[in-house]
Amino acid sequence: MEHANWAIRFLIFLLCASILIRIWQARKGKKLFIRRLPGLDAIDEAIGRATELGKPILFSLGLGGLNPTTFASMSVLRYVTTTAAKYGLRVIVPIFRPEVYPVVEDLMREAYTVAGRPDLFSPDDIRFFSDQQSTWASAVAGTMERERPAANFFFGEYGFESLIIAETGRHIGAIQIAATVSYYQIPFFILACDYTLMGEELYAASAYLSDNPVLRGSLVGQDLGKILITLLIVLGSIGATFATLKGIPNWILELLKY
Amino acid sequence: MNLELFIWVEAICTLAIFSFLFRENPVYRLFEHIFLGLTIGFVLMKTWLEVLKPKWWDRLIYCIEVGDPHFWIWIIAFILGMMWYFQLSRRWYWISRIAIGISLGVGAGMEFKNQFMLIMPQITASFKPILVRNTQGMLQFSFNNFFMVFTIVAVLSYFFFSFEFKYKGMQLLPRAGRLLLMISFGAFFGNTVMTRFAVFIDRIQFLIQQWLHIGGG
Amino acid sequence: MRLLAKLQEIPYRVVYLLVLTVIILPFVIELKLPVFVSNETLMAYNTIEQLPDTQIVIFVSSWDAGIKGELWPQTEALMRHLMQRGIKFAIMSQIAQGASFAEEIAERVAKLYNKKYGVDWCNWGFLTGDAAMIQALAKNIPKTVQKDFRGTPLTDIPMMQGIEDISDVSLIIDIDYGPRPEWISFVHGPYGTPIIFGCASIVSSTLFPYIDSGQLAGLLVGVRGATEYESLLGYRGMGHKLIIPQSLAHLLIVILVLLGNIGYLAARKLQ
Repeated sequence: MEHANWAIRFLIFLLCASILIRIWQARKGKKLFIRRLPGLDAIDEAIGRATELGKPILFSLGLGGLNPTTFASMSVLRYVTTTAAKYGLRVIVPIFRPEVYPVVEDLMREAYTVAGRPDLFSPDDIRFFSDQQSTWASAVAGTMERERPAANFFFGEYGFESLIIAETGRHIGAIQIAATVSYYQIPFFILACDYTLMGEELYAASAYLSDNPVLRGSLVGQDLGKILITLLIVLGSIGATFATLKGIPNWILELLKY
Repeated sequence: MNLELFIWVEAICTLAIFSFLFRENPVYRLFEHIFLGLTIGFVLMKTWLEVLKPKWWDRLIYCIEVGDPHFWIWIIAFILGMMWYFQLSRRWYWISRIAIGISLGVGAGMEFKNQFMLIMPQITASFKPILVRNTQGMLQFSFNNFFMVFTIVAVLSYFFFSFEFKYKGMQLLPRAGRLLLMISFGAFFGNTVMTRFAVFIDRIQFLIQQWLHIGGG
Repeated sequence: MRLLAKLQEIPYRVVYLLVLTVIILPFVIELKLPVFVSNETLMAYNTIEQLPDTQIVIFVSSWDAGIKGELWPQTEALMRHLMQRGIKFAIMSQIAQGASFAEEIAERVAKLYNKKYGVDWCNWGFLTGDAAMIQALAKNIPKTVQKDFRGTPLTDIPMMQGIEDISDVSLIIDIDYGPRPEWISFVHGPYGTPIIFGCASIVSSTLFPYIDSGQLAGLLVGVRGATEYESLLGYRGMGHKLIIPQSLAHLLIVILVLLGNIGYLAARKLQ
């Protein structure tokens, strides 16, 4: 099947419309409710701990390029950098994809300036190591051992290096908060980190902390999409049950099949 | 003889990185930097030899040589590619935004088709009959199907962010979702242990059998 | 009880030593374990068994040295099966290192089955572009690939004569740490070409839904999948060599997890 059928086109339209309407409402100034996640308190706690110890913070954006996950992580990075700058802390950012480097550099320069501490910004704290996972992981682990950050943030997409860097961070005694959409790395972050945000909670955290209308609107709009899909699955299962028991066709399945 | 030398080099590199298990040390750091340089150089070389040269440079030169008027397509491709490098300039950074915008736009457009082609068959495959009759093992199938649909609904409810489940009864569903997520993370953990061990065992197999020549193989 | 509580404080170096011992042991003392073939591996095997030899297979090998332990045995087992059945295949990779590893394995396996480069298999090399490349490949293979790994134009490679687009491809195999779902979206979805994935165990849980929905024709999961495939083909290769220390290591981990939890519960009771 090269193109969608009418039912799927309608579904795409509904999903897009819900997101666009919520973004429009957020831009108009309507307050869209997002429930506070328990992990957000941990972010402030981690920055507080770093302040007490007078040690830097390490904020890793993971392996992603310039994609929605990395942009969401950058929103949190902006928040962490602005808060850390107020307390005179350095934020070290290891970079995996080279195209992310200049965006992060701009973001951090702006964050330090907004916090009133442009003098604290150092391009040397933004370090591109490699775009090979094993090499990048070795370099981040080495950086942790040398710089001894008091707080580690792992936000973004991760691969097998997640346990290497999280375990190294645990070994040096840093408080660690992770948020990743890479589901297979979540168990390792749960074990090695003090708090872990799972999957879409990363986007929720980013929307909550940044107060950006596009992020907020998208998140709330997507909730409608999730409700829609949940309803579809429930109705589809009921339809499948009747189809099995009574021998009648499952009309929802017929509608969505292509 | 050459093969034996490469085996020794490979063994030394492996042991140097493994030395990190004891503690961070200068040997580990040296090999970490060697790997960094090697991988960047390798990827650079491969990108030119297997991507840029055959797919852009050779085609551009060929078009110019035969007088094909469509050579400008390859010039535009070059310009678009070069736009990315303006990220390094503070003054001309806005030029790179054009290239980033095009990439994001193309990517987002393709993601529509990608996601619907991936997800729709899975949504329709999750229309499972809760009650199955007249088959062998009907209780087992019914329970499996019910459990699968319940898991999907519970986990989806855990990720509702725009409202709170105020009443205690309603909180059961997202809590069940979280519990089921944790069970699945246990499965992920088990699988990950398998991968990590496989990679480690491969290195040990190399050190034991190919380097030290202990055991068969 | 105090002794039990100490179980959660086993020094990590003792754990390393135990792990090393159980891993090294099978290389010194030959051990054999029974192999049970899983449904998804059997599906992959049956798919290749039923392939016509009039079309080619695209063999995507996008793994590097970091995951060699899991994916080398899978690549070798699948290539053996294809060559055994006389099915022509074209290797390609979506990462820089991948094509080189696949080439090395293919050359080794080709010697066993007396297969010739260019006639029975070829190597398209590194093709970048993800979804855009996959869509372009499906519509026009010679235009997208142009030359092979060695710089030979596709028109000069005997097995590529008459291969125009995806309708000339009977199967796509993607061996990758995390195989790309774009093959499913842009090839299986529109054209119905069967896809087999070979993946690292870590990502296998996220790929089982594709088996359930019928989007994948088979799935090889890590070293286990490779071992199962080798047993279906009737030979003991790298997979069998690696699965025994792996099984023992897993058993050790289960024992240590149980001991650790006993220690944790004992420590809680003491408090």
